[in-house]
Amino acid sequence: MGAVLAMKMRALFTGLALSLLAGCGSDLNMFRYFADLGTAVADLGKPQQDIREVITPQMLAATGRPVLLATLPQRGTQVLFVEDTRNGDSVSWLSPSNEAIVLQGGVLIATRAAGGDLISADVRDVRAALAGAPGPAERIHRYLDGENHITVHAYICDYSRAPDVAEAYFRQLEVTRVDERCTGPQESFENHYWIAGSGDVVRSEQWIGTAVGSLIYERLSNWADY
Amino acid sequence: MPGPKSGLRRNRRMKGAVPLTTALCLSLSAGPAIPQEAPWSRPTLNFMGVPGIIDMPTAHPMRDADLSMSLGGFEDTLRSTLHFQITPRLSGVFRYVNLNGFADRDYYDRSFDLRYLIANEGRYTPAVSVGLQDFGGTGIYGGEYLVATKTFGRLRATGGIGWGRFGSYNGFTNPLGVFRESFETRPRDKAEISQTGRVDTDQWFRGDAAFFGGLQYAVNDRLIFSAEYSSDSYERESSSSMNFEHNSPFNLGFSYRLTDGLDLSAAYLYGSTLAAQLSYTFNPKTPSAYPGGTGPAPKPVFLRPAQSLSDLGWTQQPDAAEILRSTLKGLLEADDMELERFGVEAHVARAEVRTGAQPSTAQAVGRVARVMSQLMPASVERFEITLVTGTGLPVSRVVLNRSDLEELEYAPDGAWQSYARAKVEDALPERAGQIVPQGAFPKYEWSLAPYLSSSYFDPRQPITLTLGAQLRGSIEPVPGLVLEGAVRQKLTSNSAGIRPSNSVLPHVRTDNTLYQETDDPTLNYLTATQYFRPGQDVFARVTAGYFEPMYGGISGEILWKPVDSRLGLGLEVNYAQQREYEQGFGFMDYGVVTGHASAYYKAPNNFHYQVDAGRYLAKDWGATFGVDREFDNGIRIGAFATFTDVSFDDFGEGSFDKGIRFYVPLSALTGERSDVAVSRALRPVLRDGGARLEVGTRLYQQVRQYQQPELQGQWGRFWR
Repeated sequence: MGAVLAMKMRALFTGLALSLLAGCGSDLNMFRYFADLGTAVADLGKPQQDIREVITPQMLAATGRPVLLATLPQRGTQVLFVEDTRNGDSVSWLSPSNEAIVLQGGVLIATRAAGGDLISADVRDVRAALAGAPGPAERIHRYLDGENHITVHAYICDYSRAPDVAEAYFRQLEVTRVDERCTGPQESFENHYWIAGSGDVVRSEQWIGTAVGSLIYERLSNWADY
Repeated sequence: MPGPKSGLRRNRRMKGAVPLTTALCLSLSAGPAIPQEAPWSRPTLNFMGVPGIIDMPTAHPMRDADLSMSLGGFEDTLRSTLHFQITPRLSGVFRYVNLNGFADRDYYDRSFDLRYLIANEGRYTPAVSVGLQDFGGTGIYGGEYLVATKTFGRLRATGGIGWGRFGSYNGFTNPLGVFRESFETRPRDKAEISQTGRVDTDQWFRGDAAFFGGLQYAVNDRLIFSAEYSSDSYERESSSSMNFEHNSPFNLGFSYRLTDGLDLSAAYLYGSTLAAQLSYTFNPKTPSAYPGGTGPAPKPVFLRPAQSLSDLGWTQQPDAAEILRSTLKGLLEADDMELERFGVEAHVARAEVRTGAQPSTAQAVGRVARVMSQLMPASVERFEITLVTGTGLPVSRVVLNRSDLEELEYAPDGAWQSYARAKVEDALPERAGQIVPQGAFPKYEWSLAPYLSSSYFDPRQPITLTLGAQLRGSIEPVPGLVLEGAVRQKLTSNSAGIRPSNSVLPHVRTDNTLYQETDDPTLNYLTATQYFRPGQDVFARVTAGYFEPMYGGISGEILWKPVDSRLGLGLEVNYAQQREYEQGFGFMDYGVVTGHASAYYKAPNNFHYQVDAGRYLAKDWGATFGVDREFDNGIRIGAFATFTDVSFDDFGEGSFDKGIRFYVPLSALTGERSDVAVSRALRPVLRDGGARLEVGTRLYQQVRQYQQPELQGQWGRFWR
């Protein structure tokens, strides 16, 4: 967290310095920077609390919608996402702080507001492989580069599966664990899926991209819970 | 009628989790450093601030678009250099040097270089570059070189031949003399300040030549040791009253990469002095660790139930349009955008939008469309989104099919396909049936913020900084009429005081220090502008008031810029009256009719060319040529030069007006949403010839971001 905060502070100071250089402080941006800086300083000494330990099924009941908990180890953050909208088999999940992820059959196909977002992913092959089709599978990710151009990254993935026990929905579940190893020209990564008997991915670790790293999610509630 | 599917309502229900996640998500925008690179991913910068060994150049270029700033010094010498890799082969340099004791005074020298990569390094062949250092040719650093560098694993070897400064130690008769004897003598340096700035090609590659060379060894990815034999005799430094001595042609040093962009170099130079240099390299193509930015997520597309498409019952509801308008307005405001006019029919919805602080127009269009998909009745199939400038000028209209949005939201190639299916057209002719919003006008905004103004290259104070407070505001009583102004109060400044002008022209700019000495509040600008569209493809404005600290008056401009054209043509005519030094409401006697015909062209390789021909403030006639490299994240880096009928002698130091310029939107650096940008022009000398009136309301930059080819360039952000 220390390093992360230092980076945030550096960004803020850069921002401040540039605003000063610009000789202008249009609208509320100036105030926003000061406010952010204040929040960052206020959080300096606070110990991080694991959201997972304080959340109870009763707290989730108030949302009335499926909830999942996401952890981003590279960023050192946790975010709660609530199921929002369905478009075909793509389901978008929103966080209270206005981040979004999109899952297709439990497989991550997009993030929004992470900084270094996965803009889209073609995971047709991946989903077939998770359902038991023989590998290898092709995965295609699209990102924005620093000039707002879409860049395409392709990976070849293979799979192995084994029975496992996973925690989700506040209980232990008998699941099948699928490990996915993907290799591309620039990067390679490993994803893991814990799939319940219903075919639902109840827990998973999936790589978003170099700027964000992996996202681990755990399903906390389902439509059936309400 | 489907209600808004915003996440806002749900936010409120999630009360318990909100503070927790907000605190945790605060750091979501921070991330990893870019991975370290191999030592040769970019060459080291030498003490002249260009790719080189220690004081001598090497042949490899920097990475395309790398912008490097270096500051280095040794005995009585301080050099600061900007090096920009303009294209993969061509680079340009601006250097500002302080020599303490040179010519018996505290001497400041400005120089420009150009370098060109003739051949890339091959398997068996070296990289070869040619360089023109201080190509004005009369400055103290004037010299040319041809240099070759070959990499052998961790070792790099460089050899070259130089002329001018690079031919001054152990030189021999110019081998180019075989072509023409005149190459053998270099015309004597005129070395008079009044002569600087003229490009004297008759010096290039003339006079004695000499060889130079050196070796660099990369111990690891961060540390490089260098040794060289220099062909620069430092004759003029050694013979002046500087303490610098040239005892040996051999230099030894190292360069250490502190971070990915920051290098520290140190060396023992010419057997007499230690030297140190810090250099920072920034690439405008990757300005942030968070490509795509960290701004909030968009609202998802709402998918219409198939059976609802033919339901037109809502059209019978008299207040349907007004309900839709006010809901849309609220949701756009939540995303920093403003809804202007709105209209809806059975199958079409039309919205006029100001995109506010949204970092890219294409992203703003994508978001407006998604919000509309959440709100509009299912029978509405077409969305027409008109983009309006922040000053109320409708520019372009993007027409989207709602079913395309539904289909392509998560399609792997959704960005390109949505671009292919979108239609971009002129905002004129306006479509009928739009509601003029109640209470949207007058619009107003204001801010109180510190300002830092800077001027450069005053020999008494090379960087003059002034810090103060600025109160600015704008009011738009009706669409397109903008009243704006700013008042500044200087708080502190390191100004060296008034510098009397020696200009023989009317003092249209050289009295600038007189304007900077006021300690009372100053009126920075105060203008009234009416923007309007005389017809299709044409934009116009009339501005009256105090344009800038030095001039006020009246200004009219007309711009032709079709929505899908890379070419724009403009005409501007002004009457400008010089303001009093106190920058109150008063004017002085000098008045001038000034104006330009302008041509703008954005080439497909993202280089932007501009020519402004006309009459300048000192009543001189001529033209300004500008070229900028533009990046699709909004960063621009360029150079300009102005030639007028004022003779080089009458112009004075520098001979003609020229400089380099930058435009950097803050959001490109931080990834956070902001409409603040840093814009700077750096001139080696500010003189009175070729001086253009500054009018903050010029049309071209306001208009083109809502048109092609800019929209296409950033369309990748449509679904962001």
